[in-house]
Amino acid sequence: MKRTRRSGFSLVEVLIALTILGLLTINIAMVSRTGSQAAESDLFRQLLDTEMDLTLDRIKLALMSASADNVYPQVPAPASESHIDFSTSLGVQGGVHVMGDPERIQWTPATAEKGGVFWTQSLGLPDERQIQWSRNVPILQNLETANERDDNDNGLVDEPGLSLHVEHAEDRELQVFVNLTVSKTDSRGQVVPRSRQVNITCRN
Amino acid sequence: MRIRTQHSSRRGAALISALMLVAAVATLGAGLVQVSSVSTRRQNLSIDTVRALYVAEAALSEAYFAVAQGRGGTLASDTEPAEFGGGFYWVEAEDLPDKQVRLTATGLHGRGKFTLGLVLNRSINRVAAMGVCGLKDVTIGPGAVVDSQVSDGLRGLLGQLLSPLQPSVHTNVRSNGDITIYGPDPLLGGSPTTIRGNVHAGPEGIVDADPSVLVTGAVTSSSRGLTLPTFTIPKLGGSSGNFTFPKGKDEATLAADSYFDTFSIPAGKTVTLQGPMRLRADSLLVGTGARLIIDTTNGPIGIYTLKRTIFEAGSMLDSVVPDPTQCSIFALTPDENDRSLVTLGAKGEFYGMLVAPRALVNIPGDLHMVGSVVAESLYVGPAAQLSYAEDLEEGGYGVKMTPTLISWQILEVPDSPLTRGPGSIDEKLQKLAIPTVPTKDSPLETDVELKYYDNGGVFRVYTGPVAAVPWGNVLRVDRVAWYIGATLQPEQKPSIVIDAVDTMRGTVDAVVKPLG
Repeated sequence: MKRTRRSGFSLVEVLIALTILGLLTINIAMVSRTGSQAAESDLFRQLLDTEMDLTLDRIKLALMSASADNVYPQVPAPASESHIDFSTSLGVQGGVHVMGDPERIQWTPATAEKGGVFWTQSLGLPDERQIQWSRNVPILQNLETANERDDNDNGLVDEPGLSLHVEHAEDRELQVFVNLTVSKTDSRGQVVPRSRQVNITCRN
Repeated sequence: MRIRTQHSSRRGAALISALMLVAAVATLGAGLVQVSSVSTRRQNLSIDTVRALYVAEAALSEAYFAVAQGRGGTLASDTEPAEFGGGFYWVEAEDLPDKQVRLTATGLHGRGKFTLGLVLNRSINRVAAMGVCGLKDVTIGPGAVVDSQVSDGLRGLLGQLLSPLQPSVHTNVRSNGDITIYGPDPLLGGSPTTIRGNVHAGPEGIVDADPSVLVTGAVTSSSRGLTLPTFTIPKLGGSSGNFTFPKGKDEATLAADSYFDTFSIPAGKTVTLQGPMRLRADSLLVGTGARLIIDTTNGPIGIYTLKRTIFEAGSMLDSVVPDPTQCSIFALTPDENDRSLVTLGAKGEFYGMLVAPRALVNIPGDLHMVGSVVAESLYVGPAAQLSYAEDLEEGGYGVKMTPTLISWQILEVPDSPLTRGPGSIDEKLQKLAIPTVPTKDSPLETDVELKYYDNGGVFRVYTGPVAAVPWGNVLRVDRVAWYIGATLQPEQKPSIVIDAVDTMRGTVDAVVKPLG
């Protein structure tokens, strides 16, 4: 009589396999967790950068067409302001240079710690229009504290999260310097700030 | 008896499960790639749009250069765009009234597109447009009159007779600092000090005017300061020493370029400067009883002095031709720390521009000056009369006439086969078989009609390709007119061409930097 062979795994083999699988799974989980945290932070920074770049692009396009004579206030460094009033050129009609309705870019507080950047046209008038360009702008620039000192070595003192100051170039062109900080708290409770400065020449 | 094992009934199940798992993971992966590529494409579009903005700005610069050369300003077209910096552009120029031109530049780069608009004054004399100007300060004495005059002298005179109080918007008294205007002494009487136009102090200056002063225009402080362009002092082949008046004669004429250390006219003598010519002197002195006549009948006259320009009281200064665009006096000091002195104490009537960026200019009461004055400090004496000539804004000897910006704006991208639909500009050019041109071939103009004075001072006209212009024999360019195909365009007074001539011929001795 022939003996039949039974297939399968013994208990010891299964236990060893499960142990090895468990260790592998823990390792994979740790690596993927670190990777996903890094990806999440990176994505978080990218989104903040996108918000900052979009806001700065809008400020740039608005101020490029502004007339230097209509920009107010014209505050030179180390002081700065968190708003700017201007008018942009609509072209020439009948030989006369036509300027658009007055516009304003300003930082408006929303909470005790941060606010938003708003663009307003015809401020205070019946046809006033307002668009919010950013909502995560803190009260002060990154690394700056209100102590009448230039803490972040950028030539400005106690500058706000949206700070604007001007310089007259050698040929008398008006240059507006915009410093913008956006910041948000990530899932781990850390505040992530992103800052950039752009320099815009008023073409009119 | 064979016993079938369990294994054979399950053969192939693992393969199907593995395939399904791979398919699921592949689908997830494809989804992630899609999301990532959309994000990348959005970023690339943003970058391409910024690049298109830069290409459009470069196109506007090219068009500005073309306008400065006297060309129309149109560059390439949407059916044959010009290539620049990895992108493509075209510019449409539209002539407007009052010598203005509208330039619309469209720039394309990758998938980005941007359109900018610029309105320019074709050529304006920026120095003369300053009017009556003292860069540091202006003082106007009691009883002085500052008004304006147009080329039709009768029209100007009638206008003033019919409405003497009508504001003349083209008269401007300007400064980067303070402007002080004195009224006549109430005890001594006298005619009122009158400014027929506007008075503009500097950004941090004030206008201090006596209550009796009559200003018919606006009194303001400018938000921007004034700057002067760079001036060049012609070499003129070296100094001939001091000018010696011919013995036994009472009159002398200079009709060719002349360079002296001191150019002095003795009492009782008359010197006529006959254009076209240039006079250069370290010091120009016209004594009491002496007379200097400016005759621009045959051409313009430029007078360049480096230290002193003195017309003593009782001397005479007269212009034969009442055209202020034909004569300019430049009181220039190459050394930034030096100051020169200009006193126009002469009697008579002078038509022309006076440019003295580092000088104190004193215009006492006897000379009627028609033109414009730009000095470091300007003093207009009691009862003096200064008439600003509006013609100078479109003319003026010795000053570059540059196109002036009126407005700059962002426009909506126009509809054309190259701006319509998705896809990058390179794909569209290939698909539509649209040819492109290099930037240097983008202007529509081909040949040029150049009106110029040659080295001998003879007026000549050249017609033909720009590359064949005999620059070695060109002393000064007067006018240009460009050909588009066989059609001659309207004449223009260029500025860039003159610049090239001066640089090529090495006629520049020194460059006077303007005051800030």
